[in-house]
Amino acid sequence: MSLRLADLSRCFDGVIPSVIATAAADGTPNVSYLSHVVRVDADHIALSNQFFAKTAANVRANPQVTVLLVDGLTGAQFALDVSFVRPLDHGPLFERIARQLAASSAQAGMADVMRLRSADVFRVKSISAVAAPEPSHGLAAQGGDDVGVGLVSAHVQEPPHLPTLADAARAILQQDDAAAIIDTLLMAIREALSCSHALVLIRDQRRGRLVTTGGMGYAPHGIGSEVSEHDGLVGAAMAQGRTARISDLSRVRRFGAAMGATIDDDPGRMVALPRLAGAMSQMATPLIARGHILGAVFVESRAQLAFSEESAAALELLAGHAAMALWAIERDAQPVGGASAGAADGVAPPGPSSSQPQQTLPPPAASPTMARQEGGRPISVKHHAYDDSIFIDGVYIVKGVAGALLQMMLQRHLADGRTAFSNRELRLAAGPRMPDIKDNLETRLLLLRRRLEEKQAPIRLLRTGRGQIQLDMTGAPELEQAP
Amino acid sequence: MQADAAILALLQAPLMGLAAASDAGGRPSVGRVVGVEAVEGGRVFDICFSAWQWPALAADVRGHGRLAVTLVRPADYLCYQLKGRAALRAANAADYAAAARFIARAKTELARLGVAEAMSDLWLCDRDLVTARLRLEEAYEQTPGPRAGMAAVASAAGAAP
Repeated sequence: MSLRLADLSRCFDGVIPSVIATAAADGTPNVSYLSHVVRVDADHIALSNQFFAKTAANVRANPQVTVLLVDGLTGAQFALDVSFVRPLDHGPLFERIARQLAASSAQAGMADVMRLRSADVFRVKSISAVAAPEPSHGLAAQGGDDVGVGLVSAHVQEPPHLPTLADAARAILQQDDAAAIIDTLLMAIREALSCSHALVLIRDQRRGRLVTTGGMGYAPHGIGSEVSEHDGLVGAAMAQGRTARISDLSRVRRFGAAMGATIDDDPGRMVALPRLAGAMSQMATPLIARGHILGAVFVESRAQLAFSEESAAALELLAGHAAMALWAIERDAQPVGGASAGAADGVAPPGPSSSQPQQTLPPPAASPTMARQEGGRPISVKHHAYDDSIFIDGVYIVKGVAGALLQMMLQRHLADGRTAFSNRELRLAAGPRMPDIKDNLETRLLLLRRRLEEKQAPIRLLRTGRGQIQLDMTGAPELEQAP
Repeated sequence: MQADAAILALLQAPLMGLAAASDAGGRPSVGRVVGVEAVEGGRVFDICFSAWQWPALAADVRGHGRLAVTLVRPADYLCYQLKGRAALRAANAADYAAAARFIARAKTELARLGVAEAMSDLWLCDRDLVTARLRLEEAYEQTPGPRAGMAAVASAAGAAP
């Protein structure tokens, strides 16, 4: 049976560089490595043409082209007899290739250098396997069409076991709070994907950021660390609404080094995003429920080609279930009967909104510092309005929605001594200022709770029941407002 | 035309190499190089490859006689392309010895970069070794980045269009 593009899926993982040979009108050949080959459909491939003007000129003068692809796991080589169809510099296919290229190059800090200018589409006329010499180093047959393990660190992964996957998906849907959903998702990734390093990032839509809210395999976990929702592999997954994969980061890094790219340090005042030293494979998939992107899951491994198409599909399934479960708990907790339900509980929105019928919070204090006379040592809490960041006794805790929620609760506590709050009243109180809170209050509270625990702060957040939380403080907080 | 010092220096490193030719109808063929030796101070290069593994390449070099060779240092992707007319001959003992050195160094380097010999064995083959003697007419830097496609020797015509 003749070979089909579908048989060559491992050739498109970008592990071993592909090759393109062209000839000018006078027959002068040209040969170069290719950064990306993308399978378009059963009969077409697209090639990114990053740097080589000669290749682009040749295919326009003489559309006959030979492409050499290499199986990233076995090293088997395939010669493709292809014919130039058309250039591509816009449209959905171009965007797909550009995103794929951007994802891998952004991981190496060289997104700008590698920005796709154009791609070319080719029709595949025939595929032939290149003659392979007898292996001299114990290439053991492994059954199926896998002839062996080529990469030293390749991790030949069994496809995810469907019953295990089904059990994991069911377990995720049975959870009814954000912490349990995220932890069950992480456990499922460990069991169904045999992957031990993963992060769950929740979207802060207002700031265009993704915030680490759960993790496994890293010490410290990096709870509260952030990435832009537009950058890197996670950004690519968010933009595509699909899993994005890199199968050999070492190649991406060396490619980057060849161009003299540098990686910017994280700006200060941030939690460092945990990274697996020596990671070779990475995969990210969005958390999507009912068309809403709630966040993303990121996994990585030190093995090359650790994540197959099947692993990507399994991760999408698990992430989809987790997203639906997170979506459901937010929906379950939506206020019924309008604003009065929350207002009656006595928490009003911060800020200038004054239309609430029962404004029970005091107006902003004339002094920028609020304190309550009570026992215990004073706890210094500083809230910066510009990014809602919170520092407790000088230690950075969190920013964004989670910071704003703690500020609200402390204001309330300082006004009347309350420490118990319901999620529902917080949702109502915060809603006017943070409209997206309706989709992510539970995960924000979880982030806040975990950051306070991780920093061993003198203020903690306890979950006292479903939808009920309590401030647990070892002293008397003093809230200072800063610009 | 003579290759510049940077190209001759590159030959001292462990390398991977590609070669391409074309048939009378303009269809390109491709193969992997397993030996490169500079002759006449870099005016001529002896390029070795397996005619068993890359029969179309061997036929096209015999026929049309134009050859392009791309050499890359896998450690950092430093890369040059050499072009010119070439004549093919069966490899002699010295060619086989050069190929053995080239293959051994490439395999060691690839292994250092995480590629097992079980894999590079498939790419670095000296069965039915042939040697294309290439007289250099053009040379281009091809390292990924802004200099890709620039002429690599002062006497070359300029950047590739």
